[in-house]
Amino acid sequence: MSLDFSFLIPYLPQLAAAARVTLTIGVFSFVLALVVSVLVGVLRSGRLPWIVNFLLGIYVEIFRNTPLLIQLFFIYYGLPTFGIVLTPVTAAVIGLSLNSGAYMSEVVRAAISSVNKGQYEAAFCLGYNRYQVFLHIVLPQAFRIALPTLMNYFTTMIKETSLVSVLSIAELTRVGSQIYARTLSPFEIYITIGAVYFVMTYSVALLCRWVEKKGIKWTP
Amino acid sequence: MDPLIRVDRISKSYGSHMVLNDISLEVRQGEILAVIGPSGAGKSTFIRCLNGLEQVDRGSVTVAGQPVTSVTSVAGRVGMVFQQFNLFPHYTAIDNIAAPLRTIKNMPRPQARDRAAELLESVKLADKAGQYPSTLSGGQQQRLAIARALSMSPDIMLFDEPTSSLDPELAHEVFDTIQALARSHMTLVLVTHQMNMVKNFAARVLFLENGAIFFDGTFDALTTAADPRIRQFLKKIYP
Repeated sequence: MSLDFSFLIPYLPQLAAAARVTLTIGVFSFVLALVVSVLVGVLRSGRLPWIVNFLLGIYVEIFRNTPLLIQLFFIYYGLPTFGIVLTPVTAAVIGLSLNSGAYMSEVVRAAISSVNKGQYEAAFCLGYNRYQVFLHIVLPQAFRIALPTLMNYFTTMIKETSLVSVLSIAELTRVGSQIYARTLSPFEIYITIGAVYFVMTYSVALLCRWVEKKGIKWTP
Repeated sequence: MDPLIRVDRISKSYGSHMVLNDISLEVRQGEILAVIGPSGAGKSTFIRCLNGLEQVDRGSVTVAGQPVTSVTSVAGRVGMVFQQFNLFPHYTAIDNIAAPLRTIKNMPRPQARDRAAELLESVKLADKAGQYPSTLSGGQQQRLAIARALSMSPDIMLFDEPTSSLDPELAHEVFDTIQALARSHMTLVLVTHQMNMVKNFAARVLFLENGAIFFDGTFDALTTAADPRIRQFLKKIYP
């Protein structure tokens, strides 16, 4: 068997555009997931009326215990039943961010609850109120604890964008499959697509490591 | 003169286990009270009731006439130093003092930093201002914790086994700091196992056992006490 990648050259602009779509969806979804997870994680750590906690719990459990693919189908094909019609990209970003947001909110919650009880006691003794303790003492420490895991979700998110190909979005996986259909060279095309994903996720991983190292100077 | 701390018949249980049983005492302004006793005697719980970190089941605690209902009711007026320091790891040494001043007292940044620098100087940590707590030795961390508690200008300082997690030589540094406070007529209540510390500056010693006051008197009276339980305890920690 001989490998020949030269047939891919005419497709390079198409692949580059697809990679951009993948990255855009990945980054947007991650940022949104981050917002969702901090909001939900913080709310679920606080003393809120039980109904709020209950509803947030339902959200987290539903999104963690059903397949992402089904969630994407539901948001794109199911919601129009209720008059909510979304573009494929919007549906993809909403699906990905709600899905990862559910997982990540548990990371945030765990990080908040792992901040030492002594920190609260010391702060209360000094005169901090509950809100100040949370904002100034607990959150910065929880952020440090959660950061590496949250950043892991960023790379996972980029890989998960391949699932949104089912919504006819011209992202990497879908474009790859289209090229395969035309050229019938699965090995070359999928190894190329895989390499592009690798470069993107590995760059993100390096970026994350850099953020952890440069962004946080203190150690517990 | 009215006592600064008045403890009136307090009791406290965890489940069915009674930790403090009907304790009453008064501490005057400037008095230095050491609380000793075997493990599980209720020493830590007792001191934590004085600033509301623990809620009493019965009885009452008042500080300068004000009832202690929760930790926030006397926050700032009663400083607390913990066995595990409980410094804020995300703040540098100077910010461990300056940040609370800014947040709680709304002090402008330059003023808070000046005050923090002064306090660091007073515990001989001026050269560590920019370092994070994790880079300091245990003794330095505890001195920083003392400086932080002092930043709120408390009337009373509580020490909950301040040197128990330190090597003897580092404990010494912390003793010196506490001793300096003692000389400045600050009211101090300290839970400790270190009889040297008690001997050096505590005028009054409280011996707790099974959640009750078993002895309340001077250090000399304690060491000459005839009670076999006290003698046995002292033999173990002050041979």
